[in-house]
Amino acid sequence: MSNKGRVLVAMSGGIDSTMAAVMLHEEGYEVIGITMKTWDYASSGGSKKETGCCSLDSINDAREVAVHYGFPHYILDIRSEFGDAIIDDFVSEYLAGRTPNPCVLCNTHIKWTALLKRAENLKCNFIATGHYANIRQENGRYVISKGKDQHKDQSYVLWGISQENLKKTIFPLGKYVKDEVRKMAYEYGFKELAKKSESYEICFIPENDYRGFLKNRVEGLEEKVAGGDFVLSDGTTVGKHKGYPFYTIGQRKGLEIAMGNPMYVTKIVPENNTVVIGPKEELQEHNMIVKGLNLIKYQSIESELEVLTKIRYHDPGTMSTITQKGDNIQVKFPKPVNAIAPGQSAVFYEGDDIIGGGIIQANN
Amino acid sequence: MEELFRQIINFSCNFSSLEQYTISNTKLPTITGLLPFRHITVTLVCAVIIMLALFGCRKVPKGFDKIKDASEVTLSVICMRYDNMDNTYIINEDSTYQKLLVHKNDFTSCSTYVLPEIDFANYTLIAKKTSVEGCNVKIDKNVYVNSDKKEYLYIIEVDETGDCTDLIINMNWMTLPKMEDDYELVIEVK
Repeated sequence: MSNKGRVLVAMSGGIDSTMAAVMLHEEGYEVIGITMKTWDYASSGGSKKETGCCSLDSINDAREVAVHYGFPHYILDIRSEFGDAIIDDFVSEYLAGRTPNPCVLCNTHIKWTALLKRAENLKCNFIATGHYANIRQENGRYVISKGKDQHKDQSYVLWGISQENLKKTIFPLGKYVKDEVRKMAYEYGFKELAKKSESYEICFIPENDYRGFLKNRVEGLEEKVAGGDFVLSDGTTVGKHKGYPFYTIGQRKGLEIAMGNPMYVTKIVPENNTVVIGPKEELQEHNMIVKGLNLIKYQSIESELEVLTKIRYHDPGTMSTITQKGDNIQVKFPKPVNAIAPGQSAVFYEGDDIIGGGIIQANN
Repeated sequence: MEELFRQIINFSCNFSSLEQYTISNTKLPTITGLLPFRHITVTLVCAVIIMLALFGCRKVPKGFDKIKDASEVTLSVICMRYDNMDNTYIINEDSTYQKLLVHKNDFTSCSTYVLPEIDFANYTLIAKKTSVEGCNVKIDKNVYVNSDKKEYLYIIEVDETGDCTDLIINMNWMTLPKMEDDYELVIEVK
């Protein structure tokens, strides 16, 4: 074993995780690559072919790099864990009128657990991924902070990882900007990889069509939920919708309802299959409750704390005051924020450091 | 450059052929007699337009002469980290140049990395860090000199296209014939 230790690197076959593996190999770690097979695209229905993170091509790309550098590469079949935990949750969250974030759930409950389990079997000291984020030890805690590349920062999806799991985690790309990584891949001779377009879709949702996925997954869903009411906040019915699971908070496009001015989905009420719509102002909220708290930087939040809160992946964040109440966090925004969607993650930042995060429960 | 000219000529020829075809389709016998002359004219006009489009807009700043012997220098992206490098460099000695190696990556394959050789007896190395957002970034670099003003002008023209916001950083290393001691270097990023 090398003096830096043995590291199990999650390799999706994309440029980031590939370069993470190459960098660690170059830094003198003994690298073992692993590609997690999470999903069969054929099961999604209606998809043309396997693309992005789950495809056979991607697995082969990862293997090719491993062969080139002479390190072992394994394929890990976690379809059943992934299906049970992530996909079932994804479907049930939409049926509960919420907007889930499967990447967060996958990191928290599947990816790290699966990786660490195999890491232990393979006698690895560390696990590594190609996330653009940093990790450091401070005051006995493992603190995740934003990656150097603010445009590619992925710290938002990492809030759920426990201290125990962070202890063994390395993010080799945190100190690089994406352009550097791409140029390095090119210089290493991985020219096709350097040009590979990024996949932003959820790997089990072909072409980002979550509605199609839900219809395919839940038999008779369309018939069950079609014809519910679009109502205004005062309860006035203004039209019929296609079914509440097919709408998300803040949605404007595709409502197919003419009100003379732009209308947005402001609330989803699954109990009576109602979708509340209203002007943009009605999307604005000053408070929210966050549950399922996982604290990263501090063990607990003793008093009110001023933090930057992100309520979705590409949200630049809004200054807020948070108060911990057991496993929950009460968040107050001095200035209103738009479209707080229950089910999404709220992540709290102090500078570049993640204080913690949780799932948005209610927006009032 | 030869290839470029060949493409321009091909394009012009094809274009004139098309023109010729169109004219012959009109079945006007009086014009047909003028075709050879017209063919040459159309070719020349197209070639001039294309040349102007390619080179006409790149103006040499007034009072300056382009330094033709200036050339780009590429440092390994794998081995040389530029995040902690200074924003601007003017390097005239090899010893200063070698100090850049403090930014060398701690990679196995970089242990034997050496910087590209530069003849500092005759050349100066300059650099300017640029940071832009975009998908496809093209950078055009030229160095000019104005003997009256005793000034070098390094113009870095950044052309970015696309909707994405990837952060693209370049050091824009360039060598030029040894800079005169009493000259000033002005850098413009456009």
